[in-house]
Amino acid sequence: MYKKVSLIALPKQDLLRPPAAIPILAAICEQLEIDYTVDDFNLWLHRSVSADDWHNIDSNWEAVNPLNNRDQLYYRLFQTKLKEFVTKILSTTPDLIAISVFSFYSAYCVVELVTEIAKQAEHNSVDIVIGGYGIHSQVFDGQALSQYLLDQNLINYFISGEGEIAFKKLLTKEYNYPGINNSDSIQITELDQFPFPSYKKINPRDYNCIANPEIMVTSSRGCVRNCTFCDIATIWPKFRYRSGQRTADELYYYYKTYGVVNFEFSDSLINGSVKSFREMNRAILEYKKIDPDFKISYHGQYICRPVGIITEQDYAEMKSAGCDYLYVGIESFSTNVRHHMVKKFNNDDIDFHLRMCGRYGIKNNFLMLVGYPTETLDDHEQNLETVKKYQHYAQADIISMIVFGYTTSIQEGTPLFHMKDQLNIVPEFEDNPFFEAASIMPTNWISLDNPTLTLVERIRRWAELIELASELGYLMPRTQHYISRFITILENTKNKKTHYQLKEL
Amino acid sequence: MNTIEITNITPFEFVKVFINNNLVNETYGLSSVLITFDTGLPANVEIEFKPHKVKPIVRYNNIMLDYWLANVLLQDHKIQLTITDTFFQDYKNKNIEGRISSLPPEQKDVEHFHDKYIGINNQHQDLVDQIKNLITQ
Repeated sequence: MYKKVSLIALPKQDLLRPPAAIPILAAICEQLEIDYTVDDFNLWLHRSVSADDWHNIDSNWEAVNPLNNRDQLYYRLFQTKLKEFVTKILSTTPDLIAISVFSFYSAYCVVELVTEIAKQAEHNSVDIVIGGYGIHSQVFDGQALSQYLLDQNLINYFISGEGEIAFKKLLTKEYNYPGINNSDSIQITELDQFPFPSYKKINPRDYNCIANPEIMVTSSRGCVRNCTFCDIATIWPKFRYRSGQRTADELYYYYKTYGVVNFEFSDSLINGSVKSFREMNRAILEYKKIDPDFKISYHGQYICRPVGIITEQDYAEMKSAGCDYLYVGIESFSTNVRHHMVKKFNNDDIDFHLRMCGRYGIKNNFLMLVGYPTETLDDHEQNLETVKKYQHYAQADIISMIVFGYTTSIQEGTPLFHMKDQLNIVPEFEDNPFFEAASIMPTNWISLDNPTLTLVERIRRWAELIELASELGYLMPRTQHYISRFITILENTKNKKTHYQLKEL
Repeated sequence: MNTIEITNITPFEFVKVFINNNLVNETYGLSSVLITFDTGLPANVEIEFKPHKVKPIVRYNNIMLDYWLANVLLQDHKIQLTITDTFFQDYKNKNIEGRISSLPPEQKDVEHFHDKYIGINNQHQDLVDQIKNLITQ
């Protein structure tokens, strides 16, 4: 068994709350009575540099290749700080360093980190394991990050898939569990079997929370839908959920143990199982009866459901239990487009949802997807008209934010990707190194069944929507970031031959 | 036509609703009272109730109001608010003000943080025009 473990979180992640993975791993260490330390490099770096430097360093993780900016002053500052950080970690003499790689945007940072550890650590003095969704990022010649680092001898192990059981096995040096150094991970079926994540060594109060400290909670993994544009089913093919009572117990435990009353759910959908969601809200209300000071707020991703499946009473109970903010993937205000996406709700359902949220004071962040392959001009007009129709909800802070995103991209592994033939989807532009280098290849598509919906047209519709929404007073985060991205795309494609031009040749 | 609704967890002993100082409704023993009014705006709404020292839910046109954003004045025995033509516009502006003030000190006056976290100043007309130019080229 390992004797001393260093648990590390990396950028890029929100600093609004502690990263979710580390407390899960901490609880496993505690269960095995293994000494451990927790270091969130993301938080440490944020505290170690100025706000401007932080902004530059943090934004760089979203660049086409962050390592290309190594000669920038802010990058050199990052490297200096990384050296300091690694020295600090190694001074605690761990025999295992476990690194959580949250997403693609952490991929380059983990490369820098393990390279620096290799420079500073004595040979074979410490093992390194990485885990998290980001380890599957294809960053070097299309090779998965995990395999690349293993081949380079920069790590000893990687854990693919869910880590609770695999990490426990690894801590006891049982390396043959599915998912350790291979991609044969197995889904955990019973999510209620694990101890609650431990925040003993990662203080939620250290984070940049807006009002009160916040903790991430998981009540389900996977999704009950299989929306055509989404790849969640490739990560978690099967939807699993915890009992509502057990989730409510966990919230109450955090309140009693750490005094935390704000919670963000990591679930794809907090109401994926209506039964469990309802049970959780009612269990929270029972706790409130016993302990009236237990006043919490929670937010999470939510699916708009057909009227009748979720009732007015559910909204009343949600609000009373503490639900105050929902992220809702509306995607399009056109029923036809949503029908093709397999979202399974209609415009009356959205009306009902907003009416109930207005009535019970629940805020929404609407997530939209512009330029879906089947989207016609008429569908686009419906989007524009509905944005006008719901203006009063934006003013009343019920549609608290609306996000129009990057326009539709067709990601590998999504149902849409597998429908390419059915929808007559082909690359719109000739081979263009820009698309590959920019990791936005999924944007280079056109459906020959809907040939007027070119990349330029998708961006035009997007610009029209944000102009209108802005005029009507909708709050839209990161608009400047999206616009800059579109300008880059347009500049890089303006002289490129399109599918039609290529056919004429 | 406008509506005001006042709701308490337990039934009110009584609720008296005054619009521009005129008593327009008086009810007893209900936990929720809905008033429809079509007087011109602005309208000063005053609602007296018993039991005292409670904080009822107030809804205007079926939107549950945040007391602070809506400038609802709560006293032990009554609430007061003013409904204007620009009620929700003002509500929204105050909301933005509150969101900016809740940003960490180093982000309060920095425009890109307003864009990133609050979602205001999102017109970026120069950049949108740049997109339009590129599209029409």
